[in-house]
Amino acid sequence: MMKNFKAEIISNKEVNPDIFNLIFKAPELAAAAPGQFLEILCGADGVSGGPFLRRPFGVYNTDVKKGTAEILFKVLGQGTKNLSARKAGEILDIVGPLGSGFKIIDTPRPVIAGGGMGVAPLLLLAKILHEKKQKPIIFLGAKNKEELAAAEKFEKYGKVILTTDDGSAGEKCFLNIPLEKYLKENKNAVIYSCGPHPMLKCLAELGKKYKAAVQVSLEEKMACGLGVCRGCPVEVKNKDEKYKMVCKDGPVFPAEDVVW
Amino acid sequence: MVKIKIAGLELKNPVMSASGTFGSGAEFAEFFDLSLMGAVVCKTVTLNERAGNKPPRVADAPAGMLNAIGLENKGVEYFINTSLPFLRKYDTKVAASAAGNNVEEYVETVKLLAAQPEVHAVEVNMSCPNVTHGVNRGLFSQNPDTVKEIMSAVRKETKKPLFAKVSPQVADITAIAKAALDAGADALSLINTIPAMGVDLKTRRPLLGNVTGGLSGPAVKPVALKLVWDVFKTVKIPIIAMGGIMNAADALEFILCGATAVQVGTANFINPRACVEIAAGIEKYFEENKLQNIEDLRGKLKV
Repeated sequence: MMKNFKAEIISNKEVNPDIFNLIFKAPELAAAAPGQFLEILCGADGVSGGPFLRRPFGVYNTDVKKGTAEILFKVLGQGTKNLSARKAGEILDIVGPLGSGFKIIDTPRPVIAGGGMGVAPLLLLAKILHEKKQKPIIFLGAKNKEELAAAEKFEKYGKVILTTDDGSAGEKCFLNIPLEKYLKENKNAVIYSCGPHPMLKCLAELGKKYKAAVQVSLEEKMACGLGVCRGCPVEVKNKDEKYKMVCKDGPVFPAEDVVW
Repeated sequence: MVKIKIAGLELKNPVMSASGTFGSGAEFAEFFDLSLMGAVVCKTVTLNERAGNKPPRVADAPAGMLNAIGLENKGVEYFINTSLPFLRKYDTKVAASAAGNNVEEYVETVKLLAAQPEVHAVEVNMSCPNVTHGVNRGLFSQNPDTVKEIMSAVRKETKKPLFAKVSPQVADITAIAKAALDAGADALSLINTIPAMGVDLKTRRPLLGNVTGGLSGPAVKPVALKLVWDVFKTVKIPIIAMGGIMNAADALEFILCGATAVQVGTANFINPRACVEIAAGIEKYFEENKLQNIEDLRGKLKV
C-alpha cells in the first residue's frame, strides 16, 4: 500500500562519476515489488530552491530484514543534483511504493535487459528471480564502463552480458545484438526491460520476431504519481482507452500494448 | 471547527479539493479520511469521453508547474456509475465539475450530474486553458456574455448550488463575476490556471505536447490574491479561492482578501495530505486568534 513517509538517509555514495547509490531506512517499502517506484521531494522544501514536482525513482533494492531501501540515480538536472548532495542522517520525503511493477512469469528462459540508468528497477527483479530459483540471463548496456554502474551487483543473480557504445566494457555494440543472438537460439523467452525509449522499441520488435514476451518499464514526465492528475500518458493499442498512465497502470507494460 | 456556509451548503471547514488535482478522491483516501474535508470537488467531466492531449502533459516551472491534460475523462455516465458511488461512504460534501464544447453540452452534463443524490453542487468549468472555442480560440469565461449564457442555461436545470469556475486571464474580472452572479451562480471559483507555456532550449521544443497549457502552484498565488480582492470589493458573490495554496497561511491570506472557502490543487501532488493539513492549520489559527467564524476574518485585510 502506498504511503507518504519520512526516511532517514543511511548513506549516499557516488559509485561512479555522477551516479549515486542512496540507501535509506524504509520499513514502509518491505513489500515493494520490482518495477515499482517512489516519488521523492528533491527541492529544498518542495517549494523553493529546486524542482517543484516530486521526481520518480525506481526501487533499486530493498533489505526487508534491515528495513532499508535503495535508489540508484544519475545527476541529470536540479532535482538529482540536490539529491546527490543529501547526507547520511538527513530526511527524505517519499511517496510510495507506486505503480504496477514487473509481472513475474514462471519460465525457464527469463531475460533481463537494462540500458543505462534503466538498470535501476531491474536489480530487485534479478534478486527475486534468483530467490525463485530462476536463472536469468542479464544483458546490460551503457555508453561506457562508468555508466555500467550496477554490473557487479547483478553477477550473483545470473549470467551477465555487457555491451558499451565505446567498447570500454563488454562488446562494443547495443545490447540488442547479443540479445538477438540469444533469442535466435532460445524461443519463448520472457524479457524484463528498462532503458531508453529506442532500446525498448527495439526489444518490442525482437519480441515479436522471436515470440518472446517483453515487459517494458516506461518513463514519462510525471506530477502526482497516483493516477489522479492524468499527466503521464502512454499511448496504447487494442484497449478501451487511448492512453494509460505510466504512474498507475505502469510503469511496466506488455510491449505489445504500447504504440511505439 | 471552522464551519462555513457557502452557496447554501454547510461545510465543516472551508477546504475543498481543486478540480483535476484530486480525481474523485479514491487515491487520496489512502492517505487520509476524506470526511475531514469541507468538500471534494471532482475532476471535470464532459458529456462524452475525452482522450486528452498527447504527452508531455506536465512540466516543472519556477515555483509551480505547467499542465495540458486536455480534460481527459471517461464521460459523465462513467463518472456517475463508477466514481460517484465511492464517495457515498464519506461525510463530506461533493461537488461535481462539468465542462462542454458548447452551451448544449454544458446543459446536458450539468443536468445529469445535478440529478444524482450524491452530488451536492456542480462547478461549471468555463476556463480550462486546454479547451478553446470560437473564432478566437478563447476560453468560455473570457467573455461576460458567454458566462451569462452558459450559467443562465445550466441554472434552469437545477436548484442545487452552482459554482462558476473562471479564468484569471481577463481584462476585468469583476465584469465576469457580475455576469456569473446575474445569471444565477451561487459562488465564483477563482482562479483556474493561467494560460502559459514552456520551452526546452536544448531540443527547441515546447515543454508540453499541446504546446500551451496552464500554470499553477505558488507562482500564481499573488495573481490569484489580487483577483479575489478585486471581486470581493465590487461584486456580492461568494468566492471560492484557489491559486498556489500550499499551506494554511496561504489559505488564510485568501480569506483575508475576501474568500469564504478555498480549494487546494497543485499542493496535492507535492503533499498528498495537503487538504487535511490545511484544514487543521486554519482551525488552529482561528483558535489561537480567538476567531469565532469565517466572517471574523473574511475580507478583513487592513488597507
